[in-house]
Amino acid sequence: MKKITLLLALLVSCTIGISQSLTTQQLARKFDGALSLYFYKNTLRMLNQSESKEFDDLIKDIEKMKFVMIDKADKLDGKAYKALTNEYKKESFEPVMTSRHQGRNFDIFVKDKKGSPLGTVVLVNDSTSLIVLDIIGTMDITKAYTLFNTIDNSTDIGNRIKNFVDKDKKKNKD
Amino acid sequence: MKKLISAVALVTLAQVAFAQHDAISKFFTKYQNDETFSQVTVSSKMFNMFTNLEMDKKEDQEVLNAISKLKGLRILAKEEARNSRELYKEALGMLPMKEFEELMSVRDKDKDMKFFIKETSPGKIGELVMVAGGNDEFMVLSLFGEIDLKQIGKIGASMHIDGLDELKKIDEKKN
Repeated sequence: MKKITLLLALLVSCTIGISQSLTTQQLARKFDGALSLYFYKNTLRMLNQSESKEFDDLIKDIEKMKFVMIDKADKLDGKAYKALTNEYKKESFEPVMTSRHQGRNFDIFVKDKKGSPLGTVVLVNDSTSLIVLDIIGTMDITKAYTLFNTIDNSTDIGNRIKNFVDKDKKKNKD
Repeated sequence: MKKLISAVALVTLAQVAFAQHDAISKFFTKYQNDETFSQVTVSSKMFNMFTNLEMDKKEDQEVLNAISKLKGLRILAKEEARNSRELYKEALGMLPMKEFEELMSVRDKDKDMKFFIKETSPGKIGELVMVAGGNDEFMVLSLFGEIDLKQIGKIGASMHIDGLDELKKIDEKKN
């Protein structure tokens, strides 16, 4: 039964492609003002300030993660979002889970080969911004919210996100 | 014109099929745009990813096979809900009781939970619905596909979803 439980965590798990999605790369290039960050295993470990075992388990098999944040004021409307999800589908990413929590919508896509996952993309969408987590490695995607929340609450990363949003608000005022 | 009629027929069929798979879709439809609710939808693709996995133990393989036959999962939940009891009653009222039978009910000191199943053939369940209402929290869950009654307790325990793990009590009663 323990094995099944572990597998269910894998249910849900995603492994690993050699490179990140082309769509994510193009998205970051298309929006000049996008905030792009790379997280490696050690960087993710540094975010775990509370030394949560659950978070350590969550990130232990993530090799690399690209984080892209785009302000919706940069002409990223519902139509553009739909087009973006279609681009991921063209790359053989399939939707496996959608969720909404505290005003944020999560769309999770997995690319696999005969049941073996090759990559995962998590799109986090709220009223002001779109965030893409493009993951190389394995993680329990039912815990995508925990991963996102930890990044969001991390002081340094959180400040960079806040600065990014403030910069765009200022730009819009001008 | 024929193509249009065929397309309309297909759309209608798809809607009917979806409605059959998800008895409380009306409830979901009503509250899906209400941002005070959290929601989760898991597609069949997620469950299909289990199809090619192999386990050492026969017992584990049986549970895995059972999970791979699931077609979807939907959850709608509300925390800090003052109207949780009303939502609980409303969800139960929307469930077509002619199609479902009660599998189990749990009454905790601050929470009520009811599980319903829709049997498609003897021992095979097409849908499992869980409705839970507490003093300030509410959740409705619909799991559909081909659900093996013998494995339902283990499936519930594997899912790590609050409330669904109560299904293991069915196995405990069996033993």
